[in-house]
Amino acid sequence: MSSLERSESTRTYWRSLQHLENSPEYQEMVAKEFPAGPETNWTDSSRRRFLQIMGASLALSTASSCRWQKETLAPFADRPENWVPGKPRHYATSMEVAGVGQALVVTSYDGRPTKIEGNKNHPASLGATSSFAQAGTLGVYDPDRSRGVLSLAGGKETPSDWKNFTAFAKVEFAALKASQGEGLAIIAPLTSSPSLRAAQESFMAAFPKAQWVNWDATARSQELAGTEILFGKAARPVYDLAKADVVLILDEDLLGTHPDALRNSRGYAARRKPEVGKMSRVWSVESNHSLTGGISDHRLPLRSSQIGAFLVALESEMIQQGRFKVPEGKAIAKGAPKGGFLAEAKAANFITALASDLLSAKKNSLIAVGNNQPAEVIARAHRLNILLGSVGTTVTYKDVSTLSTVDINQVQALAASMKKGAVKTVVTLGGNPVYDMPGDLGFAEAFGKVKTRIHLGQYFDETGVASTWHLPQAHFLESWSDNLTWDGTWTLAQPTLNPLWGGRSAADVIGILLNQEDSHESRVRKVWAAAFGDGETAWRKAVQLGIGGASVFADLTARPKNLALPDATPATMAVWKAGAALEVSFAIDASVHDGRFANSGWLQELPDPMTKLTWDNGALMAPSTADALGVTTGSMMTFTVDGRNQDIAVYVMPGHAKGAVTLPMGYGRTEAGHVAGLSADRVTPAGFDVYPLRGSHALGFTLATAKATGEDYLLVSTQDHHLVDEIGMKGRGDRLGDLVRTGDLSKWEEHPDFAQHQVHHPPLISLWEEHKYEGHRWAMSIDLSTCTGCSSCTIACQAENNIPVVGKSEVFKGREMAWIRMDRYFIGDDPDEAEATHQPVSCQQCENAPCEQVCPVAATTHSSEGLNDMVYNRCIGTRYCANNCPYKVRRFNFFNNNLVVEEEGAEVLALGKNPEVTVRSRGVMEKCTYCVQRIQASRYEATLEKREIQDGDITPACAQVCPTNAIHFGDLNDDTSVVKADHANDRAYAMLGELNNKPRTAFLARIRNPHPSLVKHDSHPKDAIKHG
Amino acid sequence: MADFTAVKELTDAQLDDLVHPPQLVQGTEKFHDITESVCVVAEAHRAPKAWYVAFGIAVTFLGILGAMIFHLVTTGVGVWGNNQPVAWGWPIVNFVFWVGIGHAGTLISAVLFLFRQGWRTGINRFAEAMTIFAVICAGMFPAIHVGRIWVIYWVFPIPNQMDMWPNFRSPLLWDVFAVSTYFTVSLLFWYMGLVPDLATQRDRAKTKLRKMLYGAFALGWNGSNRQWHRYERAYLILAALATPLVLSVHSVVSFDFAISQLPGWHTTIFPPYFVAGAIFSGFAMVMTLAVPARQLFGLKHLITMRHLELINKVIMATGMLVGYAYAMEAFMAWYSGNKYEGFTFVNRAFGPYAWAYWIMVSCNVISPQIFWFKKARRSIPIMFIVSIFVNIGMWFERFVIVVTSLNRDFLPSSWNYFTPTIVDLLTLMGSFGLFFTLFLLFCRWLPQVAMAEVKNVMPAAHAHGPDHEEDQ
Amino acid sequence: MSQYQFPRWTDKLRPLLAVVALGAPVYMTGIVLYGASPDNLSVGYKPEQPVPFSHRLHAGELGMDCRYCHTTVEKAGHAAIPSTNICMNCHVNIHPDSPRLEKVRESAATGEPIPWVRVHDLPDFVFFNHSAHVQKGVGCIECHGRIDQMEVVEQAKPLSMGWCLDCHRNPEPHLRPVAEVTNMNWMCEGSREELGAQLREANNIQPRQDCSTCHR
Repeated sequence: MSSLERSESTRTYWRSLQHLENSPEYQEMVAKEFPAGPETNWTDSSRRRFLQIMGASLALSTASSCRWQKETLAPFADRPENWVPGKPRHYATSMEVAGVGQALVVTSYDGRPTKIEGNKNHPASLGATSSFAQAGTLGVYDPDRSRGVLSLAGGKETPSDWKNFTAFAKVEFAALKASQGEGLAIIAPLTSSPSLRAAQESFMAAFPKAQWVNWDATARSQELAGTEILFGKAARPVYDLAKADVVLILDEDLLGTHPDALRNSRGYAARRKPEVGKMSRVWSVESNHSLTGGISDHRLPLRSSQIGAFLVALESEMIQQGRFKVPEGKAIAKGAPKGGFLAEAKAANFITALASDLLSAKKNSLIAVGNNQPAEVIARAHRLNILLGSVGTTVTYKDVSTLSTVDINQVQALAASMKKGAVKTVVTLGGNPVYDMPGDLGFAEAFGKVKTRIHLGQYFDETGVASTWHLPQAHFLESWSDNLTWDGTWTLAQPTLNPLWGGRSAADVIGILLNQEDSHESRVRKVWAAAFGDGETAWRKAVQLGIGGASVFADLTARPKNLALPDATPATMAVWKAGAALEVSFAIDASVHDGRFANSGWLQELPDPMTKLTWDNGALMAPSTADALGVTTGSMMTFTVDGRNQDIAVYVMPGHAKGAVTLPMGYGRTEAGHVAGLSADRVTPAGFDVYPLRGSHALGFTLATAKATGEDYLLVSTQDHHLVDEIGMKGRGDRLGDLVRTGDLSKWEEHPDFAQHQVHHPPLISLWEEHKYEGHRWAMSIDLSTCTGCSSCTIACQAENNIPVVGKSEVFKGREMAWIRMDRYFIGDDPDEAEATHQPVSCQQCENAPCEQVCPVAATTHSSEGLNDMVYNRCIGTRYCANNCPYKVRRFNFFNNNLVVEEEGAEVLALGKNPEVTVRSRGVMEKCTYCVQRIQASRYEATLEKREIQDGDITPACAQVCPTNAIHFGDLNDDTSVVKADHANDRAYAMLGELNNKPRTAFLARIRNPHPSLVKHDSHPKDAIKHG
Repeated sequence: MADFTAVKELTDAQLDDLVHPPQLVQGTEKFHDITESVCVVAEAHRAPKAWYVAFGIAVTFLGILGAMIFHLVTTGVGVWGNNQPVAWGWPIVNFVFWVGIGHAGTLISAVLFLFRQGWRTGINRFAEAMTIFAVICAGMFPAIHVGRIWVIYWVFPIPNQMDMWPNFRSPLLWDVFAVSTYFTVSLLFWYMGLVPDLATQRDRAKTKLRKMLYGAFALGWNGSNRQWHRYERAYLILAALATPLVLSVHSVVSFDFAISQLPGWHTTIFPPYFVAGAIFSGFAMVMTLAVPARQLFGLKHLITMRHLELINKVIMATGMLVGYAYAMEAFMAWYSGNKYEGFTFVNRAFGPYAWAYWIMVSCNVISPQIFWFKKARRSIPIMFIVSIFVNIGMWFERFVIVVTSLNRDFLPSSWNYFTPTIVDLLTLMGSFGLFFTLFLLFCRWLPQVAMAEVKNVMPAAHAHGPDHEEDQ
Repeated sequence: MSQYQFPRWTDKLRPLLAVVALGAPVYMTGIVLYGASPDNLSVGYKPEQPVPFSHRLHAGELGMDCRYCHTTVEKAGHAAIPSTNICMNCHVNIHPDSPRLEKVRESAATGEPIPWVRVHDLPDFVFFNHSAHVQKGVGCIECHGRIDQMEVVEQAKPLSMGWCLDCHRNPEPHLRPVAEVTNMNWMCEGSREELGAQLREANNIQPRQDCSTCHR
């Protein structure tokens, strides 16, 4: 990060904290039991911890204490009751992404939120979170966040404040009130918040003629339209994969970027352990090679436009196999599409097998379909659920007609009237329409035509720059709110610190525009009271739990009268041939979603689960497509849709549908910040903006032409930094089967312990006398059968262990710092049909650790409980340990990666560090510690309570966040522990155990459940293919 | 005032004809002429132009080295190309390279001395000098390659308030002891041999300053029989002490690799293989230095064609030893049936770093084969070029061992290509700057040939014993 | 030509030279080790505090218990520095307008913290937990010395790693009944080792020497 020009000086920053401390709302917060904003409470600990981070480099480089450095302790003037300095406190809250809430629990030290976990009480979360939630703590301390009200009248940036704005708003909106809001438009991000909805209603009551338009680039409007065809009202499918024997997923990343991915993953995992009940079988048909496709037992790559035809073909096949009827009668079978891709053996066999599978599973089958599909296709897919009778068992449809939605027609109308100059005043309540509106609307230009443009946002972003007023928005950790989760559970969001930069929430701003004074909290509480009845204790309990009541959506159980559907739109049946137009589809990005998280260094550096790309998106296409176009990974291509051009770098994605291109959204930001791109400071944007190619009539997928520009672009991934040569491919193929042990269900049934006999080696004899472990014996187990490769563990670990971000060029050099990395391999001889497999690898805490033996200064040693302790302050950085580690999980600080904290304006980053973990300086090695700080914390707790540590007391960050609960941690000396059972499991194996390292992390072999008629003779990875 | 014209110029051919084994020096030479031709270099008012040019270049690179190290220490190890998985890059390659070169010296002086190889006398002095300087270069690299050089003293077992000792199981620690011991002994050995010659220079010195300096270092040597008697006894003992070190040092260096369990490193052949390689590269470097030196300072009658030919024979022999090691390594990798080991060697020969591997093989194994021919063995240009080849080849051997083994080890997910940075390159060149600066200073101010010892092997000496009065 | 001779007296220098050559390195190492060791660097550090608070008066003469002010010492890692209101609990009545308490009253009024100067300062990569020690019967005095006799607090023990290990390796002589933890005048009848051994047995005390005990 370069220096932050927009930031205030450090001193003013600290002064502002002083002010905060004595602010009435602070006192009030403290008085209440959920204090906010005391990252200013200068207890000895927080002060010391703060110095610890600031002076980390000095501190680490000096062996003895820094006597010459005079430290002062600033205790509370008045410490609240039972406020224990340095003890973490936990607050329930929630965050909302694209109109769907997630229930969270925030860990906060001395008032500084440092870690976010899922809310165990919430059925969808059960303690897990998305990567986006994990990155929340970095988000709130992002130095690039807007730090004050800006007036941009006359094109020049003049710092202002809320008082000025309020004064301005009084006048402006008084006038508008007179005209009932004629010429006033509100662009609001999609939200489920009842309190915001209430605010909106009161606003519209005051300005009846105003246009209120919701916009979100990832809104699931198609799904609503599709279900409306079936049920007559917008419905939302809530899936229960735990009940499904057969799952068919159509063009949807159900376990990845789907809003309810956590619940889906949990359900999926419940049915993927062979020893626990009947295994489910997952079929997916998709254009992109998504994470969900990666874990499927059978996968058919098809262009998005062909899914409709596939469905009809499937229905007719089911009819032919009998015991299945559709309202259209047999007719459909006759009119069923033929030829094209259906002529290919693979597709044909796939459909036959799938049909019989669905018919045998009947009501225990589940069909999920993606929002990119046309409404008719979505309707047809869900109708299949109804016809198979799975409604109520594997899928429930919720009535969401009351929720705010994005109506693309309204959006188009608004853009038009703006162009006409019919709009005088526009207010964007968060969101970033100037950036993420479909290209065909020419929104930026239209926006410019409006006289008064008010923008509320956490960042002074693309829209902010184009506005006449910019207002800083409060982060979700800084404000009150209430959200509904996917299944309609009511969740409460409470602030865990005072707004760092005086930000306000959307509801507050509406309050200002309406000239009302009540705080957002009181609004939230009012709405809550209306729904659940008021009462101090009830309210307190709600705030404590963070979730309230059952689903507020009604179930649609009644079977719709008329299930007949119009014939699916004629699909392009033809298999793609070189020269034909390409089909580009737009996908939510696993790292930055639609661009709203773009400025988070953690997320930018988090490798995409499938491409492993960092700091960039790319045009994903099949190897054969790339060959046909004469391009390869890194080649720049100009894509053209309806005359709108955009240059994007190609990424060759094995298993992608031929002739289709997937464009992840959310990159190419020009005003995001010093991480994702900032024109003011000449920070080049990360990745490529694909919104210009998006059409408001085709938000899902559309046809495009592409031409290679001849230039090359450096795409950086954490795996295969360079294309792997033939020898490499062969070498990889030879060993892959031993590293990631995989087998079909049938194979497992024959030899449950096949994984343990995969590798044959001579008897293992140790050079040294082996360790004895009287006390605890910490160990981990990772179940490859349930791991989906979502990579949440990587980012949870980053948040917990103060792991630095190194930047694109360093990642390219191979110097990324992730302590737990998600290895991803593609298997299969034909690149176009490749299967993906994932394996999370962190320090295996070997009992005979190769690293320990070679360190000349004993900086990494063996603990009495079997951990490889890594002592940063003893390390001199010979890097010998890293060489000798067969798993290559050790990470070296080639530079001081925390220097950014010392940059003016960026000090705020230090507040987000975990005070229980040393911040590493340059020249020292680091690695996974099994979260030893959490082990110690539990030990202290047990000591105080005069008891032993129980199984389950300790959960490492990776295990805690895992949506499929694939990671277990515990004590091998405790016969009742889960991890002990896992290690005893037949599927358990030690990766590279033949080296006699005795790793403490056991992997459980991955079991696939292919359909008998499609089973391959040898499911062992023969040969890993390019781009691995 | 002596100058170089004082020495009678003879062509190699002429000199050679005059040499009849075991005669190693032109028969008609008097003891005094030896003294003359050696000391004259140090006594001359100005060295030959070539010396100033060479010295200028060397010092420039020394400066660059300083700058690079400053940059490194202030910025971080990241200025090099090192990464994950190649955590050891050029610094360690250079370290092993220089330690290897530092071998010939002690071998020639000690081992050949014990084996009564008279011919060593012509070259042992600057071979030893070369050893000292090479080890200085070598010692520098492990020191600067660590991440936190300011706490590097933790590798020494010094009592401290942390109650911490170094980890005596770590080969790196053994290295620290092995190399420092080797350096100390070599230094003593070299200085010991210098004493009589320093005395000679002291006695010939004209200016007061020189008298004092040479005098101080001559430790009051007066060449009495008693002194000679003890001197030779002590020299013998030191030689006996130094000999095992020749084997030990590079064996220990090889442990850095052999003790680890990385495919390509974890092999038992490493110690002998490394020692052979070290002698190989050491002799090559001796050759690279001897050829120009004898030309420049007119010592052809002392460092005769016979010396050079013998060196060439050693180079060829050790070259083939090294070649055997390469072959055997690869064979064992295949024979062991270990898939990781096997892959490493296929990957070396045909993977991304194949070019490095084949440079190594052609320079180290193929090029010395030319010495089968007497003509080639006795041709100055050929032997010079081959010696340069061998130096290059041996550097690449270490590159192949360190980088190709690391860049593709067990888990394919962490495979990565290593690319050096400009800092890597300049640091290596800088180390040559350091080496040559020291060496040129030595050539200028100290006797490059062990006069006293040479006199020992002159026919005259055998006629009527060593006569030291002759000098005064 | 005449052989150059050093003057006779230089012979006497030779032994001296030898001594220096051998002695210098040893001496240098020694002096640095001694100078840099916390025993000499840290012990006795006695900064002036913004408020002339006397532990001798409060903890000594008045015999107040440490835990009255350092409230969290038993339940948390940090023995919190008392907040101003704890001072004011008494000083609203006692010496309500003594000039020496000016800063305290000011702080109480404005809410601005009193900037105490840290005396016992461990390196930032060391994680020490008060509760774990206090609960196991390690007296305040073991690390902080006779606080009750200090007019101005000073560092009494080196707080160096070796010093910590001494106790972790051989805790017996440093243990006392948990009830006596804050008692500065506690005297052990009989052998401290024996009592220590009993206490260790009773309270199940296994001081760990793993690196991760203090370094994470």
